[in-house]
Amino acid sequence: MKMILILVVLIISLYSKEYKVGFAQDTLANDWRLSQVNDVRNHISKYKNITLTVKNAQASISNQIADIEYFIKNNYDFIITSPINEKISSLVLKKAIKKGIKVILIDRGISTTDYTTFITPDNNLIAKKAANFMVDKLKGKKTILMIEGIKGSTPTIHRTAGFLSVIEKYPNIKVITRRANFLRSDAINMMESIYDNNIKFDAIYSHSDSMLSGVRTVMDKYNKDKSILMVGIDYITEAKAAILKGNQTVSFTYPTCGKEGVEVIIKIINNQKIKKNKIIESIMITKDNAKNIAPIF
Amino acid sequence: MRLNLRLKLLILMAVTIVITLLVNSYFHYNNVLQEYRKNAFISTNNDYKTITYKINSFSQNLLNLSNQIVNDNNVKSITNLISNYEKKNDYNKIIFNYEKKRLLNLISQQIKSKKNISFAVFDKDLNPIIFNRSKDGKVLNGIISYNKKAEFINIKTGESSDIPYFMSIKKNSDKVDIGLDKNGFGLVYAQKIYLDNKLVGYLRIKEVFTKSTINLFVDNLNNKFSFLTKDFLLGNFFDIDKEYIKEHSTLVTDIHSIDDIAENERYSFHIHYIKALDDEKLYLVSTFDKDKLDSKIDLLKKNLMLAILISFIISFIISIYFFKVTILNPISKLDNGIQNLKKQKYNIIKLDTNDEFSDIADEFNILTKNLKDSFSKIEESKSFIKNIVDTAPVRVFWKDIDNKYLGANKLFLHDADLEDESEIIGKTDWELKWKSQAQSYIDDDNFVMNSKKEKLKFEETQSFDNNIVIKLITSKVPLINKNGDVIGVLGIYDDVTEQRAMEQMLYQREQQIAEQTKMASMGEMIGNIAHQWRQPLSVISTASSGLQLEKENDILSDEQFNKYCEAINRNAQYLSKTIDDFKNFIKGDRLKRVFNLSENIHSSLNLVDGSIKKYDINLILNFDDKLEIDGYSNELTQCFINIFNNSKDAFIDYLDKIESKLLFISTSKVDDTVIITIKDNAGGIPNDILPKIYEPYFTTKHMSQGTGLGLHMTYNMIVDGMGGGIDIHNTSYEYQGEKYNGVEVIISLPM
Repeated sequence: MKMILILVVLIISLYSKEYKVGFAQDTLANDWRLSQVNDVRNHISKYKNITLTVKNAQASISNQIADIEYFIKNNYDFIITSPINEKISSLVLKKAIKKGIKVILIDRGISTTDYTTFITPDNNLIAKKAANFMVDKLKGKKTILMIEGIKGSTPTIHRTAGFLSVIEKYPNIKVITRRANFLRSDAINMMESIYDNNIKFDAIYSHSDSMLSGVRTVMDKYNKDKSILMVGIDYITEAKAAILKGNQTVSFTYPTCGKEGVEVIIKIINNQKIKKNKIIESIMITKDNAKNIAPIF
Repeated sequence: MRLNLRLKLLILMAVTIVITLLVNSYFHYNNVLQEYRKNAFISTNNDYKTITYKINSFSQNLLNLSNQIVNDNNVKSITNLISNYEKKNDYNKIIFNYEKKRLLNLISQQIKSKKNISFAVFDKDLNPIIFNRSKDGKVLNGIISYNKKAEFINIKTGESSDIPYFMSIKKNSDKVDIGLDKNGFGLVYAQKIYLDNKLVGYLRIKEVFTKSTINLFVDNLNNKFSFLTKDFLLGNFFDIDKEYIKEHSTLVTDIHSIDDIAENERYSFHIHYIKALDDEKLYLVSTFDKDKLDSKIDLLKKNLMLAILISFIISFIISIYFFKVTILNPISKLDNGIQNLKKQKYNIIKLDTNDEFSDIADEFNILTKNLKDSFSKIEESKSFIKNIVDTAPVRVFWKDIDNKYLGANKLFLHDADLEDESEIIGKTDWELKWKSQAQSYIDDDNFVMNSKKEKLKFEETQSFDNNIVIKLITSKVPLINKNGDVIGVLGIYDDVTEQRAMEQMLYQREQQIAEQTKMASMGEMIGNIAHQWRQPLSVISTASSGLQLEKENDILSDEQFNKYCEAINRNAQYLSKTIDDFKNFIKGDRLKRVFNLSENIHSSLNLVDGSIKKYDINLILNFDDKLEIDGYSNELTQCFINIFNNSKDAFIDYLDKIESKLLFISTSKVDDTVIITIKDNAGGIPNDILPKIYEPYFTTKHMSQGTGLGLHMTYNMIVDGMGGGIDIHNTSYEYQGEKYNGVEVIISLPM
């Protein structure tokens, strides 16, 4: 009885007011970012009194600042964003907070506390997990090829730092670092260069599954053994297929936090308590559980 | 007249055209110079408009480019970022400089290949952010940041002196200016950059005109132009005293009329003050050469003369054509119509126009039609008369007062052995085949003409060389005109030669018939005489025999003797009288006298008494004894006898069919006419015979009985001889209760 009352109140309160949500997305040219937007859109679409506006900053900090300023100026109730620069973005988000707009940061944080809630998977933790998994599998003197994402970006920084913090404890394991900017094409170019220069490695740790896809393309071309230890992050459709085929060892999910972001908005509307910072757990996908878990995109 | 009209019209036209043109050209020439100056003014003004139009199109392009840049979202957002976040975050210059570089690249990409375009972007406080300067094909650009002294520096060089001269901007400057900088003149445009209606910065963009651009402005214009400043002169006109222009430019900054034109010995100048940018004055100097003006005026004069000549010729031709079409042609057609009318051709005039001429033509056509109708009626009656004259069964001719033939009909021509009337016109009788009688004919003609009296139906003979003589009945009448003057003579004659011969023959035949009739009558008479005489002779014979017998027997008494003698004497006298009657009849004296009709009829009946008695004919007489006639009694007697004999002969034929033969004779008087009616009951005359009864030698009787001349003679004697009338017809009537058919003869005679 009490529950029903609460539900009724909840529904009434949900439908009593129109809410505007602005999503200042970094870029839509990236599958993961697009998927993040789709997650938010899908979950918000269940609530008819909430309208969502998505702005594409085309990977430009100035555009994202301008987009957030647009939301502020037009009296949005919520701003969801994944800040491109943690310092510059904090300036504009401070304006939003001052104006009473709830700021939900998903997967990227800022340098100040000018936000309502910050939901993110822990890249450092994922990297550590990946490193421990690889260290377990590799015996003796081995070399790991680490493929990095965009230089200076938070995921890249944490996925490198977390990984290396584990590996440095194992002197037998050597790490070769190459950069492919989260892009298949760059990964292909990079991998061709590795083979051309006859650089030897025993396992691959890639900051993203998409870069591993590029790597496999080159391996196919050079007829290389694809059953070697290959660890990726994100868990995309290509990774699922590769894991089931045995062409990729594992992938760590990296949730978009879109669903969680929308859940926080609903909680705020319902005046429920929320956490300032929320870490989303990553799951390791192996050949055993891949069948039952849907990839991110 | 036709030539005159054309000539007058043409001269009038030509004079009008020439006067018009001369007056026109006088005024026109007087205005030529002024006009040309005005035209020159208009021409340079038009050039000025063309130049400003071209500059405007450049300016529009620049404006479009500027609009494109300031409306670019990236430009907006970057300018916003720099304007609003940079100073507070100067610890993160890399990001800002990265964004500035993006901005420089973004705008450079939009400008693309336009090398003569420079630009700079300022933040909202008018601090420069980036610049791109183009000079002589080289591009100098940079992004601007602060050094430690908070001075603007070019981050490439670290120097502030490289920041270009034009990197100054006035607030609120938001339009295109034609301006100058150290490098020349061009278009400068400053535009504000807004993000969500919030001012975030400024764009200043400049297009420096290259030489080829300037040439593009001044090429293909009517006049030469220069852009003039205190430092340089650009364009295609350089023969100019800068000082002079500057001097005048202060006076003439805007040209509104021809009076604003400045002039020196060789040139007229228009000085347009175009624009001052940064307090620098720019003038557009247009000019035209006075020599060129003079030569143009000469050309204008020539052209004017040529135009006058050509327009004269053209208008002359047009006028001729116009007059030909609108006046001469209709007049010519009307004239032709009149000429045709003279020749008696009644053509309808057709005019395609709808003016007075067509009205005249319509009237003319109506008149022509009327005339044609009248003339054809005249012709008709003429030909009718001619036909009458030609077909009249008489000879007709007419002569003038000089006895020359004017015309004649066909019969006349035939007599003259000519075929066509034209052969006789103008000839005299001396030239014709009857020239031997010419004098007498001419005498007759002259008599008629001189006396003005007609000479009618006189008979004359005409003899020819071959001894043929013909008889003519001629009439001549004077021809008199309406003034009463004799103008000729009309003659009509008929050739009666044959007629006369026929008459002669008929006459002889009539005589013959009369003789025959008489002879026949005499035969009858003798029969009658014999019959009449029989009884007296018998009485005489009886008396004489009685005398003789009584004498012999001596019984003759004196009384008896006297009685016998008296009888003999009485009968002898009767015989004598009878002889007298016959003698009178036979003698046939044709003496017109007054006689008693009753006596005449009794006398006639006496002559046929024998027949009456012989055939037992009952006479029913009803006479008016007082009637007297002035005529030929003998002939009337003969008529009675003829009529009686016809009745008698009919009785003979009809003898068995009737019981009593009746002959009714009555006389009466109606007005001045005596009517004698003779009626029998002998059955009448068959109808098919009735119309022929007067014809000579027609008889129904046996040849031994009739001559066929009886009624013919009777008719002649009554109708022709005594001027009376005779009607013979069948009749039906009742007498004493009996019905009878017979013939009734009614004779009417004048008293």
